[in-house]
Amino acid sequence: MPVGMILLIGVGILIYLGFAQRALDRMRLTDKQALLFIGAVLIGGFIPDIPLTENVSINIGGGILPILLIGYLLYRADTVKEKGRAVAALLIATVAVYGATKIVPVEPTYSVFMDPMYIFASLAGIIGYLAGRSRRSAFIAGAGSMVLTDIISRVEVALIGGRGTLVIGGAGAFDAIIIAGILAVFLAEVVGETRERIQGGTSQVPRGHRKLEKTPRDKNPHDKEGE
Amino acid sequence: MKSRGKLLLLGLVFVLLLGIFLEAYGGKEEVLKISTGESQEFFEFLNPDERTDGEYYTLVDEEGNAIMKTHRHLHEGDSFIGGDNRFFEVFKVEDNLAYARQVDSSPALGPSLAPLTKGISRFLPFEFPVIFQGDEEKDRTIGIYHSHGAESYVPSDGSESIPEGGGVLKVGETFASRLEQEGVEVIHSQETHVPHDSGAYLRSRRTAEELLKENPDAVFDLHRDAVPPQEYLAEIDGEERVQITLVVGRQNQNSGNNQDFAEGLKQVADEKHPNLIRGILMAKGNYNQDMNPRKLLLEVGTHENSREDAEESIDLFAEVATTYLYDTGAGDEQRGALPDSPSGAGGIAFGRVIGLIFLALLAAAAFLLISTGSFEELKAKVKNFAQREFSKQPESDPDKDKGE
Repeated sequence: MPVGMILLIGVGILIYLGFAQRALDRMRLTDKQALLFIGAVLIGGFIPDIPLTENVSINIGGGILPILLIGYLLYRADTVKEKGRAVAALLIATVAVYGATKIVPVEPTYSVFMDPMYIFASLAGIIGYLAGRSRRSAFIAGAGSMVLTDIISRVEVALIGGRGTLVIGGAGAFDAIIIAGILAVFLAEVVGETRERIQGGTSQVPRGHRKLEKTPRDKNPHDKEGE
Repeated sequence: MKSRGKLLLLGLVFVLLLGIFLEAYGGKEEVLKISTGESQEFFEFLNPDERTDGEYYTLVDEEGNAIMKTHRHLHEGDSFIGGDNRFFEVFKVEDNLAYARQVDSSPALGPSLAPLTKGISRFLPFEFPVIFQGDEEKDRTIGIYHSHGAESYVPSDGSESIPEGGGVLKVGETFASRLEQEGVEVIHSQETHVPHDSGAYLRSRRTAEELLKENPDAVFDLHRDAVPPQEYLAEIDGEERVQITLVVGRQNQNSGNNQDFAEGLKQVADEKHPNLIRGILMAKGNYNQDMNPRKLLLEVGTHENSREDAEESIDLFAEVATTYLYDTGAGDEQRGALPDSPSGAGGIAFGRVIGLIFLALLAAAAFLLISTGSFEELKAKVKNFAQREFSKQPESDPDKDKGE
């Protein structure tokens, strides 16, 4: 392959992974954990898929790892209310994304302003952020709704007929599951930061005075509500 | 959240899902359809492109001469390279008419960044040591898959969509066997990626990734169009045959290279089998072409052409593809068998690399500005980050922090 093309592919991947690392860092992960996660997703994408049924399997990098992260984020949520909001966001986002796959035209040439993949990711991200007001719930809704949409589409095929196999997260780090999660966090970040700026602060209660907040300088500086 | 609230939510989700199912599959006549007439009407404001009135868009030049007709909605900024190699860019869409002006050359580099990237790439060394690939036949690999594997040809297959495996898979088989005759190793995925909805490209992304792991010289996503049959019929090699459209997605960093690839293929096709390529459509969307700079979508005829005719045309195209990739200088550069040249595939890629880095820095800066609110705070934050991250090297350049 020509040097220029190798560079183009390499730089593209590096920029994507760089943004992905920053996005994960904005949730309940530290810099190093985020880096480790990205590394694991990359390597996991090359490990053979794990078969679930006769024609459905799951990729470790693009499927199992994001699902584990979603589980971890839900487990680490401070309150039952936060957990509930995140699960609600995930379910609503799934309905919205699945509905969108039926409404958005089949060919991207027909789409109004952007590729369906970005439309789905934005939809899930906006719903996740609105419901949970946090980047974590945006990720849960973004990546999780892609997994659930995959499963629903499979049920649909089983009901109406059709032939084919499905690998959940089969494209590894470049799967729509990961891309949707990352995009959702960035959307939440941009919307959230802009909203906070217009509002003139993070919330009515100043930092350090909120309920359930431990110390202003926790181990992880991003480990606060609203992030 | 109380358990009653949870139950209510679950119930709501179930009802909504059921609604979508019934909406999509309530009417029993057509098993696979995107949505019903009512929902199409309802969502027309979202989707003004689904024309149910049987009319088409006509691409016209500034004098009003028709260039082509298509059922596809044309947007401002879309472009089309006609069979005669004239390059048109859509600047206005009114009712059924898309007005296009002829542009001198195809802007393989993004128009906004072209002067910048061209300027910088002038100083780039193109004499990198390249590990030349041996041009032995075992190294030749091409990947084929079908994002819409249910697509079929009505006159031959009896239906326009077969979820168990459409006629387009057979066209893929013909393409594969002809490539194999030419000494190319072919990886052909028979995956259908059903259901036939806009999630299909997300599912086919996994197939594309599987193919790319084999490091193919090119990857083709085979489709068929959905316009009246005469739009795809032309005299090729003295007979009326089915034409092929090459589709390049504009919304990704590889669009310049993929367009260059499409233009190279068309040039060879124009010499060997004039009229075989109906044109190159640079359209909105990605088509998963963000994954590789030598990846094209082919529309082989339309649903009302016969599949046998489509197979004959893809047979001719296989010859074109192998000739371009393995017997021309441009093709050799595409595969890395020749060093990069400023105007070839390598040069275009270099330009895109610079553009990509520039855009990433711009995005990072814009994002930092949003999150800090002022340049002073931005500076303070960058400094603070640099101190935290590089505390062992206090003299380190604070500009190193481009990621946050």
